[in-house]
Amino acid sequence: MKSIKLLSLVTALCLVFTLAGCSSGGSSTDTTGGPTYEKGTLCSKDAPLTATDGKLTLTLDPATCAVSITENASGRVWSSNPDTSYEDSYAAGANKTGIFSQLMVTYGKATALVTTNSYASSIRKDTYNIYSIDGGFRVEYTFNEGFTVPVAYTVKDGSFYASILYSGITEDEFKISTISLLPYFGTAGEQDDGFLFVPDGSGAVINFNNGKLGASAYTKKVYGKDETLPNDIESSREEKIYIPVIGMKKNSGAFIARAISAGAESTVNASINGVGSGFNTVYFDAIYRETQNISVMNGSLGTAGLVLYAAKHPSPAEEFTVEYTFLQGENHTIGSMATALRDKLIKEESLVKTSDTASLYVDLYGGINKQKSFAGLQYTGVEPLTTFTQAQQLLDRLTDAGELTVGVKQYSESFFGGKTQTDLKPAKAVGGKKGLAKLQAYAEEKGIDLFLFTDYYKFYSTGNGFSRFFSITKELDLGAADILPKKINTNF
Amino acid sequence: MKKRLLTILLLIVFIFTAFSLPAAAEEGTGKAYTYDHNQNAVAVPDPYSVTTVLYGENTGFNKPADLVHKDGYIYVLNSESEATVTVLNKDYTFNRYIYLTKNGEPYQLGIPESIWIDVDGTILFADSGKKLVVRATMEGEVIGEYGGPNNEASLTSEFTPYKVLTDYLGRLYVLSQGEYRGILRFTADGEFVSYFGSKQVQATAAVLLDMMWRNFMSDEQIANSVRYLPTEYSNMTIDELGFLFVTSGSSSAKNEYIVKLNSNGSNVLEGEKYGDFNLGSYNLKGYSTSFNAVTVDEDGFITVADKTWNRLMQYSSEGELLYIFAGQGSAVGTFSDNSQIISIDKEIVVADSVTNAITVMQPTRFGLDVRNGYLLYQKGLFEESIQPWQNVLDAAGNYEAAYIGIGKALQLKKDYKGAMDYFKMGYSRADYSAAYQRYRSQVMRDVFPIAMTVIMVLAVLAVIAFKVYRKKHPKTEKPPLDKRGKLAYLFYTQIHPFDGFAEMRYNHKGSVTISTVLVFLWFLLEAVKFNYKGFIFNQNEPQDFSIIALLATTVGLSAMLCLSNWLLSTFFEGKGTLKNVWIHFGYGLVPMLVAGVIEVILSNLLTQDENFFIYYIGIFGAIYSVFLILIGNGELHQYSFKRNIFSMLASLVGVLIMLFVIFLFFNLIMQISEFATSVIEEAFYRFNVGF
Repeated sequence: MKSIKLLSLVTALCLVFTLAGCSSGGSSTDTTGGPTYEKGTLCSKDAPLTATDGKLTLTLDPATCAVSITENASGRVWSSNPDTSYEDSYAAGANKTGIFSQLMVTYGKATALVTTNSYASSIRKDTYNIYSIDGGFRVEYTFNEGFTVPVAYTVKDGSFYASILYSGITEDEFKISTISLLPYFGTAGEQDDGFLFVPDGSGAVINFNNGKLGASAYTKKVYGKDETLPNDIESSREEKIYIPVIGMKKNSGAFIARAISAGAESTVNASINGVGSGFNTVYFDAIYRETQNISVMNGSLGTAGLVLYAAKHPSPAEEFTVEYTFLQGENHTIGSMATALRDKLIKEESLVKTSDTASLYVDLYGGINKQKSFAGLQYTGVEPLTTFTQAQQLLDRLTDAGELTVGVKQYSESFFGGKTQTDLKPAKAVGGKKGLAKLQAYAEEKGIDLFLFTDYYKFYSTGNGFSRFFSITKELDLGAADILPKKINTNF
Repeated sequence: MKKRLLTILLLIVFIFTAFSLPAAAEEGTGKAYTYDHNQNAVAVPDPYSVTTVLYGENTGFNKPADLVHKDGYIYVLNSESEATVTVLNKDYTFNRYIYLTKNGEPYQLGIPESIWIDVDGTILFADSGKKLVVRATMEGEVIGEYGGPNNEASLTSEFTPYKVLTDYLGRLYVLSQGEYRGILRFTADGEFVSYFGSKQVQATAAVLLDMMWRNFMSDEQIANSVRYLPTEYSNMTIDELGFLFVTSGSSSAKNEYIVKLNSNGSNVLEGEKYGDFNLGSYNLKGYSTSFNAVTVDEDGFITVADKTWNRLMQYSSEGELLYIFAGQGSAVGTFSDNSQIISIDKEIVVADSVTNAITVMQPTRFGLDVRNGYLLYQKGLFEESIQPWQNVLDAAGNYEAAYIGIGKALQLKKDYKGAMDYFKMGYSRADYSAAYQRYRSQVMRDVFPIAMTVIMVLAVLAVIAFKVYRKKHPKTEKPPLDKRGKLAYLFYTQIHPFDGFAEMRYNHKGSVTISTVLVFLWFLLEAVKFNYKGFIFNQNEPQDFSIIALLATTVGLSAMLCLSNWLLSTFFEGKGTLKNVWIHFGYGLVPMLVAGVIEVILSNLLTQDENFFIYYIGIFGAIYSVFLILIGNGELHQYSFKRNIFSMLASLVGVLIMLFVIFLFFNLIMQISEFATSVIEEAFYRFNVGF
């Protein structure tokens, strides 16, 4: 008994070193069209540096490293920052230099996260270097705090790519948590007309200069919050971000910006003029290293403090790349942004057009677990919600709906047993193997697309080869990163 | 053999309960809910849907501080605009601005907080910046500025009005910041009259303790100590009958979050608890409801806005919770600051000063059904209320009020069985009992004549049959007690305890098996009681059933008691063995078991008023059991009467000591494991990358 416990402890110890280093969620590795980055040749900082691909012209100001993109066709210019002579009446403190920065780096210092920006910490101190590479430039910002962040700005095939080269980041004493990339891109100020586009749900628009200074700034993690991190306060109704793309319409022009590499590890931020600066901003915060606040005893009994811990290893991705696409023509709306995104996705074959009509998606739930009693004694039983026979009857009545795509959830033995699902064996209460076969035959006959869902990354009990102790994601204190049921009336 | 079977059965049962699983957590989309009888939040469909959202920049208002509606127009008080008021038409389109002027010069309010239209058509404003209540004509001409009461020695702050309204006589009611004495009442000319609706200080334990100490303090000490003041109101409104509905924040008592004041200033609202229950705490900060706006609609439903999570809660005119909806967020139907609400017909209009938007909501199908159900129910039209309540149940099967509503209707229709079923689903024991009473009389009336006849006939037949049998098989002499089975002594000791226990021991007819079975029967009886005691008397929730707890309090307790008794018998020079202590104890349980069985049966047959039957049978069984155990104990150890009592009490104390030791032991284990865990945790924290 003892030896088993010891073994488990040792195994757990080994696991924590490996698991703690894994970042939750993978990074999209398909660099669709983004160029690869070489070291390049060192440039002098005397004259402005330009690069072009025929459709866009990239201009880098060697004194400030501010990037400007000129749309060759329309002549519109998009800048990453205002000119250094600009006086911002809304900016105070760190923001005074922030508005001239291409990067804002948040790092850990003692028990808190501190933010520094590239202008104050690198440009002004002249600790940066510019290298010329194929299609553009690579800037190496060396910060006062000891770390170096290389960023590549290139233009290719009519798009502008801004890329934080993770593989080239070096750190010293302080460890980087997040890096904001080109936070002021577009420099949309008080006198400009337009809106910010954020990918909230099916897309949302924040009008420039709307005066809602009391409302909190928009900030949301791409693809939803990390379920292995502790709960945070949530609003009652929130949509998730399903595609890491942002956009801006400014006067006659507009752009969309897609995170095409490591986008899953990022946060979308948006803010209006008057909050912190005179600009309406929308940008990505790249999460280089995940952090977590943990409440620990502070030495004296009864006091607890929040201490900051970080994952041992940073993101394994090579780079964090955002692809800026500038829309042709004028009079842009959120609709034209969506069309531009869709066309891009079709072009790179991430999306395939299937039919002219949309299918009707129907989700069927087989059953749930329910506390039942037998002669006064409790047990957990299966309560069928929609059996396979009932599913068939249901689908029969939907034949007029046209094309049907049906998903069947919560039907398997493993599900009701709370175990990881490793097979498609359906529970008897829902109809069993025979019932499922009949339903599948029916779907085949009627031309209905039938999908059986599995949820194999959440489970409650050990079984089917996955252990409640060894096979789970752990928090830093070795406790299971469990998802607790949330009550309806609390917001956390 | 019996023991083994029982053990296996119990083991199976144990396995079922010990490994129960939680149901899979599903993500909800709509977030409307209500509370059930256990104060758990249960989801319901959205009772309101948004018809339109008016944005300030499009419609022509700016950061609405307050709204009021009169004669088809909506008056929006702008907190940051030269135009003090924006008037909207019934269809929410822009009508005009009202600019305030005084003697021809433009007049600006300091901090506009409240707007109200008086009966004479003039507009009243509460200005907390200039600390005045301002009266103006519809054209904007300021005709009056009222300050606060000037001859009162104010302990707290000066007059800082943030809410004003008038009743049908034109009397002004004003809420002032920090004013703990209640609502300030003024005449129509702005002369202060009195305080109205002062609140009581909430008598918490801390307050009571302090009050007790003050009995020992000198006058000077009391004068220098902290004063307990009731908290201030947060907002108010008035209905067409002249009742004032006033809200308070979370520092008040839960039954006073919303009060309905009559002309005497007394609260006539019947509800007991308002707001959310068990909101929990996050990062060491506790959350509780804080009402900051209220409105009453044409049907008498009270809608309140909660500042904590920006929710809206609607109550019936009697203070029963209908549902809770809306919330914090940026989606349509959620708010950043639902600072003011008004009702126009059935619509609710919510002003949000942070997002600069006014949201108009109307009841959904579900909302209308709930409201209709309540309205018809309140009017006593139970039959007509069935349809809306049934609609409610079709949409939300956990809406308890709907079950009770239908139950009442069925009861009127004399369908008592049906009524009982519905009251049970609605968890209303009082109503269930009343319906059951009628049902029982109904059944008795129908069944009694036939039943009695059949019983009589059977009885006569039985007597005849018995006589015939006796003639054929004459009575044989029963063997003496000591020659019969062990079971015989079980029954004998019940009625002849003094002789029975001694004889039984002398003849070695005491059975450990029987005694053990009896103790386990006790456990089984408790399990049956938990689950099958009649609904009227049974407050247990099925999910609270714990085999382990029951085992511990029956079998465990028996074992500990016997052990304690035997161990302590050395002090009292008792002569009994542990085996016999167990036997005598087990046998003594029989009256209690019998009483328990009768209790369970009766609880399913009696009404609430007949509770005393069950109660007394239980008491009687318990007393008789104690009596038997006492005699058995005394007889076994050969104690004198005094020593017997003493030894029983000592055994009980012994049990307490055992429990205490067990508790200490577990506590120690827990502390050791906590320490170990925190050491390991600390170690891992240090290994991992801190900053």
